Amino acid sequence: MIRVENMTKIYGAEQVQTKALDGVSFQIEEGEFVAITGKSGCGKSSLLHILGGMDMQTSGHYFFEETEVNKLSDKEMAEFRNRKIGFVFQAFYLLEEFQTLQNIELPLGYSGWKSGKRRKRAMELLQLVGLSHKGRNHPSQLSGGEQQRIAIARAIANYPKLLLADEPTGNLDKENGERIMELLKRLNKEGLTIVMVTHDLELAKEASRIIHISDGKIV
Amino acid sequence: MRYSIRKALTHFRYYFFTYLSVILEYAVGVAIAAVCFNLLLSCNDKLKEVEKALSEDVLQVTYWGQTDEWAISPDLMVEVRRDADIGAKQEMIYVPYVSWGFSIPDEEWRNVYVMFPTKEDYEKLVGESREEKIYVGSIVEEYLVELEKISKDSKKIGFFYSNLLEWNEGTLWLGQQTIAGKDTAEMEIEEVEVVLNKPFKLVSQAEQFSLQECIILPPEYMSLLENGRNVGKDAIVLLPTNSERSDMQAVGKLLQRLAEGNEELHFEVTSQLVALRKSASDLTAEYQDLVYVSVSILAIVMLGMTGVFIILLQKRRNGVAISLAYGATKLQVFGELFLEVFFVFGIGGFIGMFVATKVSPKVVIEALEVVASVRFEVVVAVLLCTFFETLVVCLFSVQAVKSRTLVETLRQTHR
Ligand SMILES: Nc1ncnc2c1ncn2[C@@H]1O[C@H](COP(=O)(O)OP(=O)(O)OP(=O)(O)O)[C@@H](O)[C@H]1O
Ligand SMILES: [Mg+2]
Repeated sequence: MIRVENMTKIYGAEQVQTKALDGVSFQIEEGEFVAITGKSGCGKSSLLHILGGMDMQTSGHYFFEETEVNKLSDKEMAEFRNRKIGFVFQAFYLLEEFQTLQNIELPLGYSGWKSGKRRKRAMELLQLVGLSHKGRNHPSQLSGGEQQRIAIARAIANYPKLLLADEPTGNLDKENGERIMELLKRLNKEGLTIVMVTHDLELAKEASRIIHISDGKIV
Repeated sequence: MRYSIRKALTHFRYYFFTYLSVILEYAVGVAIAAVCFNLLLSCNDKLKEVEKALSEDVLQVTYWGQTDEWAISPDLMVEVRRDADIGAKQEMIYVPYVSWGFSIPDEEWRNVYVMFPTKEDYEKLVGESREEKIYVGSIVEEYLVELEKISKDSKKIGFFYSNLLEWNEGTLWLGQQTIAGKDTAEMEIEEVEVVLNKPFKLVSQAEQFSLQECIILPPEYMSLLENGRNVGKDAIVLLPTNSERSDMQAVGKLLQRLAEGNEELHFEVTSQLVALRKSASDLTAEYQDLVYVSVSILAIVMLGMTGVFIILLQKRRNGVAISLAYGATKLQVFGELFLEVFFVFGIGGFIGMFVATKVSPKVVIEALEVVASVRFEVVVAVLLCTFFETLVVCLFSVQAVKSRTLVETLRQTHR
């Protein structure tokens, strides 16, 4: 499903260049659950941002279902993010102005879903993450673990092909972290391809494959 | 689009109390500005009216204020157009009918006559429009036709023909309107003997008697008048004729004063107009200052809103980034922000306009008979201003807050 060829990512201008990714190549097949590990600053987030269509590599190729992503226009890129990708962030990033239901509806809104259908789907997802009773709450009224579950619900709302999670358990305690892992594993079992960045080697072991990055290279 | 509106509304509701002060400030700014502009434009119109009257082409007398004896109805306006030249080639006097508030009861319609200076004029008019243009109240703006009510034995008749003074008795072409029902009108042309048996008299400020009963002459003819007096170049002479109408009392009074040779009865149009022009332009200048003040208020509100919005956007950085990450285009996000600000200014502007429509009619300049009526132009200007302020606020705030890339924003808010 995903093919990355010889990808590099260099930040900064000429004098102070940081090589975040240095000739990375790999493939991910549909239905895989891949964990990306590596020590801090090795370029995991950079990689994930590129995979999610939020950033551009400096050189190399990124194919998503045989489409070369960095050849897409801005508008197509937005659509790519909207329909193909679900992103889960370490810091949840829920919109405080919106109720949880409305947060989940976000990608659906930009996808042009009618409000009734949107609401129905959001309810479904709330149930899936076990928070049906919190639909009207604002994010600040939820615990961290609950917030991350809502964030996952939002990420998968528009039936993405690929779920990218950047340290989804990084801000959570062990118990909540495990719950999130459970949820991700369940989604993976239902056929969702997942790429997860994590520091936690134990969590990484639960994935079907581990990609280890060191200094911008796969080892 | 629907979703963007909804999202903008949610934000607007969430931050409503943050925006409240801006909304009220903008409302005040708009209200003051709108009232000022209404007044200014009304004054300006007055000024134009006066200027026009002062120019050679159109001589216009507007009566306002109050004389000792008669209250004056404000809609009474006489317009004398000396160069009017439609249809007939001769120099003519034109008194627009509508200004007189003149109407003929239905049952008297069959007695309405339309008078034409020449047969050709008659044929031209009747040829052009058989039905509509010839009956009372509908024609006069376009055709130099004057309607006059003539009873069977009538000796009075209104004239518009410039040769009037040379003409004492003779033939005029009259079209007689024979009306069976309201809808069918037929004109028959016939020659009518008309005998003018009233001497001309000089009066002025004939506000309360019907102009319908007057012959209105340009001053050039005054010297020809039997008892013509020392009338200024632009004076208007009104000649009351007999009538059964109640305002004959006023006519009587006028006639009486005339008989006494009262000098006051001279009515100099021009000098009065000049005075009016001065006060109108003075006032216009005065209100111009107020306009500057109100425009400054609007500008300050715009600055204030920019400040508020920049701070809000800084707080909401990740909201924007998240929207982008989940498939919004930059344009969509900008649209949402625009809408949100537009709600703020829109509601403020609406309140301001509402207040202005209530306040404006109460702002009256008595000396000019000017009321700051609500002007369409001002409504449009407020709309444009609202749009403009919204755009500027959005562009500035977005420029001030935006990061170079989406990922940078995400990393920024992460810290
Ligand atoms: N905008 C940027 N400009 C310059 N350098 C950057 C920029 N963004 C990231 N970097 C650098 O790129 C390298 C990789 O960053 P990245 O965020 O991908 O690391 P990471 O593996 O996710 O680390 P962590 O586990 O701490 O999140 C780091 O050295 C970082 O300092
Ligand atoms: Mg990272």
